[in-house]
Amino acid sequence: MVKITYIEADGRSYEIEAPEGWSLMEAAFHNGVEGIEAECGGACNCATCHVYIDENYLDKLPPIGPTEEEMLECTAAERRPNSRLSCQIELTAELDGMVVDLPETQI
Amino acid sequence: MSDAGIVIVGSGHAGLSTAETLRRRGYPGRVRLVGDEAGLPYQRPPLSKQFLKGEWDETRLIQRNAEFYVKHDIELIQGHRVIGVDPDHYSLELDSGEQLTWDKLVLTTGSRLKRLPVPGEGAEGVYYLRTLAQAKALRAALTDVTRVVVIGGGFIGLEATAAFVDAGKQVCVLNGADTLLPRAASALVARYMASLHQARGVQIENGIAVAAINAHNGRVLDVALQDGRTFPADIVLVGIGVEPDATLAEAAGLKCKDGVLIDELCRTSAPDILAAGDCARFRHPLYHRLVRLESIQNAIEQGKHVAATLLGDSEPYAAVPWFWSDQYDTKLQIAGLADGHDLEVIRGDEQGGSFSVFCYARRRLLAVESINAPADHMISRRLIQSAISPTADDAANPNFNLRDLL
Ligand SMILES: Cc1cc2nc3c(=O)[nH]c(=O)nc-3n(C[C@H](O)[C@H](O)[C@H](O)COP(=O)(O)OP(=O)(O)OC[C@H]3O[C@@H](n4cnc5c(N)ncnc54)[C@H](O)[C@@H]3O)c2cc1C
Ligand code: FES
Repeated sequence: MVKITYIEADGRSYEIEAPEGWSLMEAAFHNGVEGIEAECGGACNCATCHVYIDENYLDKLPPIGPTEEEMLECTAAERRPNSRLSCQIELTAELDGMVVDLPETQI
Repeated sequence: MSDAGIVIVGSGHAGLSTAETLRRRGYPGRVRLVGDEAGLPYQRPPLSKQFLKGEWDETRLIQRNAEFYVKHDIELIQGHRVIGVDPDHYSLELDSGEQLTWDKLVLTTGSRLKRLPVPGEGAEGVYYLRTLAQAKALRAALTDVTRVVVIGGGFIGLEATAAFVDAGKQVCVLNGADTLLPRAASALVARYMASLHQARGVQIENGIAVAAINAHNGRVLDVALQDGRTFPADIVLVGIGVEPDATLAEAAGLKCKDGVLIDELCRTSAPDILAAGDCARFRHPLYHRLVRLESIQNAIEQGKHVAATLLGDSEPYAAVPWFWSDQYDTKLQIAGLADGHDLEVIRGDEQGGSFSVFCYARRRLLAVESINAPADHMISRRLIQSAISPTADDAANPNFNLRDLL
């Protein structure tokens, strides 16, 4: 299991454990983290699973693919250097303990 | 108002979205979500994609975990069908015989499959795909078959075709219409999708009429067409579309017309009964006509609207419809509704497999279908929402930045 902390824009936080192989979006979605909408259920079609990643973990993530790159240009909240779409990040043991900030809005 | 609260019938995408939004926005009363499928509410789109391909297991389809419903005090009544609604007495009856009362009722009963009206349709080896139970049965059947016949050239048939091909099956698509995706896509996109499948060895027969499914010892043998041809099949998947499930609404005397009619705040013709999702038909302010949508976007957003109306804080529903379909490595995304278009303009590189088709009617942009062009899709949604139509020349010009119009 991989432990992730999600922090909502209003400061509320959730500590969630999810199996390796799931996406960073799914772990949040199953547990009802509100700041992730994930309308398309992880198909990289909606950009409503936008998150800001803890800088210390950025280089442990898979690179941004071409579809994610285009979708990140269209997020509702501003794109920052640490912006990612959480459905495109698979949980691995290396990500254990990661903290993820959620944007003000997804839509 | 009594303490009966809100009862939602149908725990699919629209029903769950309604329940969740009520809680997120602080509704203090009782919320009950009734559904006739067993288990926790799950996502449908992956059934014909990741799940059918065997990439995802069942737990990944589940929307929210069991604790979520407890934490948010959403009472799930799963595995029970509502068999009748009495609008005058604010009550409904479950198939168990139990009566529930409600202050407000929400119908999110979705769609039901159209059955193929030919002899042999019930033979062993004939599958349909709408529910998790059906997807599980189909997935299990795939292990020892080689030849699959798919009847229907719509999204679900084609997504399943892609999954079958990936699993090494020999697939033939028998399509009643003259092109694939007849109501859903432009001619250009339909042709492109056909070429994707054909390049992988899929046989596509358009404009056919199925006469019968022949069986031997109760098990499917082949599919016979009215023109006399037969197509051998180890299994058959029927995907010829759905119709709105408005059974309850019709029986309760609510106004229906190929779906439950709702107004811009998602209210039906009966007081205190609302509806959303696949089962509902409404006048879309961007298209000025009655529409019924079969999409996740509409189910989720209309569900949110229902919740807002129930909380007395709603604005007319005017969201741009959008939809996606993933087949092989190709991502098709559709913004808007293309029906009635008179002009198709290509932006991008059709040969290179990354382009969009802009569909216009009398110079007004109605819809944009994007193949592996997600930025076009996202920008198009905003253009359509704001009723901005790029000229055909600008749309076709890859050096013209569409964002500049926003
Ligand atoms: C295989 C498949 C793939 C799809 N892929 C996509 C996609 O990629 N993108 C996209 O946008 N859309 C897709 N769709 C369409 C999308 O799933 C539907 O538009 C969406 O599920 C509609 O949500 P809904 O809540 O209105 O209805 P549903 O999800 O159909 O839910 C309705 C629920 O109500 C239940 N119900 C009905 N009557 C009663 C009753 N009397 N009592 C109790 N329960 C009842 C039904 O059993 C069902 O569980 C797909 C659909 C399928 C089947
Ligand atoms: S869930 Fe839709 S893009 Fe990530």
